[in-house]
Amino acid sequence: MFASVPLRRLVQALPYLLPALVVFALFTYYPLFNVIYLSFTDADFLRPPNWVGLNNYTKMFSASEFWASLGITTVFAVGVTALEVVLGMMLGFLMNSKTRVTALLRAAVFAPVVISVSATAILWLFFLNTQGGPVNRALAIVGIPPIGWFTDPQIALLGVIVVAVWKGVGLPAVLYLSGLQGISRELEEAAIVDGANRWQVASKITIPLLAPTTMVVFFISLVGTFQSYGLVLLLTRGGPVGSTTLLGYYIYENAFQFFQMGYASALSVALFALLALLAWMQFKVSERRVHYQ
Amino acid sequence: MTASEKYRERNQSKPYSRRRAVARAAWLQGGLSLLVAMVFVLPLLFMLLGAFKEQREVFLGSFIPEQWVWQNFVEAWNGAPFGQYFFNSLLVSIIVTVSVVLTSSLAAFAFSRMQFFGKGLLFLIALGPLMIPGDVLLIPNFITIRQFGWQNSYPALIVPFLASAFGIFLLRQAYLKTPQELEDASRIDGATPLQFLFRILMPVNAPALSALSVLTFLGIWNALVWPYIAISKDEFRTVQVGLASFTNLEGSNVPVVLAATTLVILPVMVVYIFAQKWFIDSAASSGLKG
Repeated sequence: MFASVPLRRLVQALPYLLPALVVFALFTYYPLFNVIYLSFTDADFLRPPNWVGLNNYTKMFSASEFWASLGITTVFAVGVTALEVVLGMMLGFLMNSKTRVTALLRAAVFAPVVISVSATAILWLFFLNTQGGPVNRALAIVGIPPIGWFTDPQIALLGVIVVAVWKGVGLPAVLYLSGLQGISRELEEAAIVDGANRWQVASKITIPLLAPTTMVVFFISLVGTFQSYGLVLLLTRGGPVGSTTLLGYYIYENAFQFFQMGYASALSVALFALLALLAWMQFKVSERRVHYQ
Repeated sequence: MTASEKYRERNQSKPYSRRRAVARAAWLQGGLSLLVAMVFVLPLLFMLLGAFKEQREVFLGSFIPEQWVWQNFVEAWNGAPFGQYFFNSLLVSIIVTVSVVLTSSLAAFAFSRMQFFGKGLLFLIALGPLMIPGDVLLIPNFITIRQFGWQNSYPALIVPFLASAFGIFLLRQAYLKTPQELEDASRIDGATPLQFLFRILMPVNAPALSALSVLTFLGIWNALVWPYIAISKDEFRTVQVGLASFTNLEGSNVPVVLAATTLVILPVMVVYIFAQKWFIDSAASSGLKG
């Protein structure tokens, strides 16, 4: 029989694949279908779910909280991503120099990446505390009144962005560093010989050569921020007056505080659609060649 | 003469003032580096200073504690079952890390070294979880563990993470690069595929395995949202969930909270300081997947 050899080989390979595939089936694929199913029901923890058709989706599209959270998520994601790309690149350049404190700089910039969200939240709640946090006390010395970093609805989102960038920028910085180390010096040296100044070399040669790194950093940051709300959960609980309610936190709130599992499932499906759109964009952009080397 | 030779010659023939400008730029870079490093360390420094203060002086007085109150750390440790929390975190992180290395290795071995029917499709299924964010699966997975009766149990913290699509991807890349000759030689010596995997393929790819291990361990050790949702009893709380209950600073003993935070950060920081390059290289290798 012709099919028997490849099939026998499949049977031989399956024991190697099954441990992972069983875990994925139970905790990735089954729940993915389940969340889509639940989004068409009125699931809570008390009663068995009833089919409610598109009710959750119509509720979602007419809920001002949903649109608000979408806007807040966009501001947060774009803000954090822009800062992580720009600061990450600048830190990468600085880390690529060879001074006596370069090792210290690398260690310091990357340290927050290994610190947990819980610890990060507490130390920033103290550091940026409205009453008597070290930053506000330092500002008071130069006559600036206390800033409500996590308590003023106008500012809280900025406060969360600051913390997210402090915690997250180490990875982009390291990626830019290794990107810079991978660039051949020849082109930069040739440009200097031709009389280009430092800024021209950086803007016309080095930064364009870093385009592949920028692509990676951009999408890692964007996708990461669209689905991270651990910080908000501990720093502001979505407040004050909903000013930091990211989409992820809005889902968490509806699911685990209001027990509206059906509605929260519809929100999850929306989040999934958004992230799929981002992934598709990444695929489209990386199809156009950004590689110079 | 190549460009780089020309460049060097030009640099050597620089006038004195030009060389002094270069030296000044180096100082400037050093100074800036130090400043930026300080900015990143500052919140940690103030946490540490605050942890040693008396409760009444934490938001007032000098930034340096007037008296160093070591008692805060004792109170922090006794204020919550941190021994149990650390044990839980360690247990869960070790089991998950060992399992991810094993399950990823096995699958990566099949995907990199075997030919079989449906390989392309199965590979797609194995990498699919990379595209499906965990946050989207929070609700259905919570319902699943309730149905299994796993709420408040170790399996809730462990079983969903026993395999990793990223791990399979990372190790497959490494295994594909390992020369075929090694496999042929070991087969001639009579080794079974499993013996080849465990005795040769895994040891020669130790750097990739160690990168996967440190990233997995750190990810599970630091995980917050899932354990926060799945666990409501102290008995099974991880360190991070235990610490998260301290985030209400108003009306609590702030220095003790800061001491608790210091205690939680300390073990990771100690390992980080000694194995910094390992952490950074591992993270950099993960970023390149994009």
